[in-house]
Amino acid sequence: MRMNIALAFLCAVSIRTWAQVPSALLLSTDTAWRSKSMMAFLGGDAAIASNAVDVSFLEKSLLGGHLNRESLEALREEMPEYARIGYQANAQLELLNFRDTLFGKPKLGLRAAFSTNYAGYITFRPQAFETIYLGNSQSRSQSESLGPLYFQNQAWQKFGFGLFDKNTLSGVTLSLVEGQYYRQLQAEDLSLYTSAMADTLAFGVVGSYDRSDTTRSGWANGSGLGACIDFDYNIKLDNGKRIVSFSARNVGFVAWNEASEKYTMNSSLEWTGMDVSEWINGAIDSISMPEWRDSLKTTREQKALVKPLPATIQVRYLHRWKVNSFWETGCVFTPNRAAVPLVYVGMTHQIAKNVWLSERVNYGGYGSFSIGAEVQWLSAKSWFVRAGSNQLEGWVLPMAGGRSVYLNLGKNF
Amino acid sequence: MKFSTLRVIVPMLWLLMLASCSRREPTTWDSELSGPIAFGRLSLEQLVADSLMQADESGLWHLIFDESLTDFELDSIIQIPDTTIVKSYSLFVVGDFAPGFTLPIAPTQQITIQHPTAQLKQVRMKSGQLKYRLRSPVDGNLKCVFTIPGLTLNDVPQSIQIITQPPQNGDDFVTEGFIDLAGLELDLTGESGSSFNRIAATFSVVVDPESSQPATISPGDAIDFEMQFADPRVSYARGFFGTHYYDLNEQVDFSALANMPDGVLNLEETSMKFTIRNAVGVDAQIDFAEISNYNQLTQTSVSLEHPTLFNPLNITRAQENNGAVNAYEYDYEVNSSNSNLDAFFENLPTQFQVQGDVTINPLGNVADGNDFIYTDDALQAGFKMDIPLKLGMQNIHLADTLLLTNAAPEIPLDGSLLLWLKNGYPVEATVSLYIIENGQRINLAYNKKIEAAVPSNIPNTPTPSESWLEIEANEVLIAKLNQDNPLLIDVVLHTPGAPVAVGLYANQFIDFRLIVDGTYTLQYGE
Repeated sequence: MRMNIALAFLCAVSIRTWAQVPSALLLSTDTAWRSKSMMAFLGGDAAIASNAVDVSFLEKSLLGGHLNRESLEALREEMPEYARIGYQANAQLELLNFRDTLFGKPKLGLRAAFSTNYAGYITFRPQAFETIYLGNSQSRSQSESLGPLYFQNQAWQKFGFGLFDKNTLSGVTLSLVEGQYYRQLQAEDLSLYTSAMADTLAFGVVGSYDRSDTTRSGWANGSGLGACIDFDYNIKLDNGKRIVSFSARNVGFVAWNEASEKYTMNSSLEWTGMDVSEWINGAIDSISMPEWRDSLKTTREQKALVKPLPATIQVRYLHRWKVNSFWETGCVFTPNRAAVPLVYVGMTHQIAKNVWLSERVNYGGYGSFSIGAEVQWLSAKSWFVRAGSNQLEGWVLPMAGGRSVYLNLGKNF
Repeated sequence: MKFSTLRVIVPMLWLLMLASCSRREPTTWDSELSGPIAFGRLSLEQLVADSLMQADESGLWHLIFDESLTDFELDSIIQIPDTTIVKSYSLFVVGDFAPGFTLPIAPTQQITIQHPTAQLKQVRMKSGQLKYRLRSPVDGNLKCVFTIPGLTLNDVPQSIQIITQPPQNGDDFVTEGFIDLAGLELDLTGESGSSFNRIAATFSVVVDPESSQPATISPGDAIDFEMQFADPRVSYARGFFGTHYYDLNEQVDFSALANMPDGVLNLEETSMKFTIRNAVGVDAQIDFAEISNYNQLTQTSVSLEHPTLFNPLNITRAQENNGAVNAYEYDYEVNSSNSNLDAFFENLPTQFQVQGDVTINPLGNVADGNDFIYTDDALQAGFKMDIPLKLGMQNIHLADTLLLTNAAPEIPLDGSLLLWLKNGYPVEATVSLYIIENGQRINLAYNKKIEAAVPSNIPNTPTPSESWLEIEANEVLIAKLNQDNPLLIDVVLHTPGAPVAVGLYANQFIDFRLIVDGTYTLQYGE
């Protein structure tokens, strides 16, 4: 088992798309699992989604391969005016202590968790995609407006302790956050002009770029320190026949250290080629390309940065409408420049004594429509297993807008 | 589901996820890019060495070759040879002599410089040493003074003073030293003051007045004094330098200065000026036998024809007045009206050859021994060619190779390079570009035409013409441009209306821009 945990811990690069208390734990009438003194969860989620590009593009972009021109042209043709790609990844070890009375209240349990988290997004205009992937040959005599373009990518580790209600699993966890890295580009205005002869390119950018200490790498490297709160508030109605649930994750911040940098850009570059006159007449022996960063007028500040963590807020409603079935709907808010609110509706069926099967339709987030499914198994004795995907079609259809997987393993002690 | 089953499945699922998330290869895509690579301005002064180009007041370019045919090294005829003088001064007395006693030796003497041709009266030394060595067998301290009244520094005569010591362990006293001759004047008129190649000197020997002991002279004692002019170099000389004959056979190679083309060239108003400058106080006579050129490519030679240049030229001696030299200069203008100079240059020569002879003092000692020379400014001959770039060109062919890079560049491009030219010269060109691989030409662009500028209402300012040259460029061709495979640029020039000449002016140039247009494979994640 220790080997399993170690392997899982090392390999966990997965995504908690919208991590919440598993429905099986909320809805199960079998309380045997709560009778144990402690429950440990190990899990991870990974999800990437887009409303503009497909899984084939994402897979080749991330894992390598040749993006053929026909596919790129097709993506550009269908691309919405505001394109977005986002991802979340998470691996977590969580301990729930059911044993003791805490603060004299037998309902309260103690929760401890460690997780490593990754999240990022990019939102861009189709013209930017076209210029980068299809080129500028078709844009002669035009100034292409490529912006706005927003990009953010960050990683952090959380060490949390909290309290939870043993009955409803509502709870609050306060975490110490170790920032691993942070990158943010905000290009409000981005343009590329190609002259008719293609003898002049003019690139304009207005925006800023923030990044954390680049001299450090790895988990908990000291680049940043912060705090965050995760909470769940589950309200059981009609003796548990209906449940309304509110939850939030990563409501907090990271204070990135003094070696962090902020670049402010308000610049335009005009490129007409290298002047080779002196090379031709022998005045100089060699010529080299100028460093574009030298020409881009930026203001650089090295200072501490305080940045929020990418929080998610979720509301859901579960309703048992048959003995072994319930339906669920909810909404997930990810307040950033790329994501839109994600809404979903789904059904869960208890297909065996401790086995639940769910299916779900989603819309929003970083992507558009998607179909999800999961299976949960809660053994009375000691185990809980949950596996699923919020974008199942991404595993079978190359034109799907994303891919998702999550896997949780719980064990009672 | 059993616990043991889970122990197998869970790690496998995680490993599967991890493996599926690792990068397997770079991400690549083909992007159609258009953009500038380079630009510049070409003018004649860039293509030809700056020192060769001059614009006149109208802006017309002139190609100027200013070459020295020869510097006659006349200083060799007046150099003092290495000379060694050994004198033995016999002491005609025997016995003990008190301090201050003057020994009776012949006090004066004359040193003769053996020069084969020159009769020198006065020289100023540039460098060299007067080395000396003295040997004394006398048991005591002698004060020996050797004075050369004619060897002066700022009019102060130079002398050598030596205090001898008694022999030790049976060995005579020996001492050596030298005088640095740099900057010293040397009078070579001898004791009489009217001779030549003679140096007057005095030698005196006294028992050292400062000594506390007498000097004991034994029978047969003699003092030996040896002097040597070692590697003497003269900066100025006066006298009669003799009569000398020199062969003149000079060759000037232009191929390194300018890439001479082949083809038919029509030049106008060319001129050449031969200049002879004599800053030496000797008469001279120069007799040019032949001035010719040679075109290495066509292996043709043209001899210059001129009515007077090939007669013996008498060069009058320079005059000296209180150290100031009035040099005599002779210029011989050769132009298209008094010679075949246009045809001479239209041969597009790569070499010039001048043959003849030079005589120094052809009439002998006509200046009564008052020839003079400052060796850093002697007799020079040279020529200056002036070729106004008014020319008519018919298929003037230029070819050059260019090594763009040492290593084969890997540029994943499939398309073309577009060269835009705005030609301000009234010359049209046909350009071909090749990669030379194993002696074979790989065609990049063939016979691409660059239009000539067209005449306008503004004098000497034709309206530039624009041309586009498309050069094939793909990854395979670009990779061939390495150390072994240079780029060959082949240009054929033509002036519309040739052989009628057109002028090339300083306000004319070629602007160019190099643009890439094609499919470029971009990649990241390697």
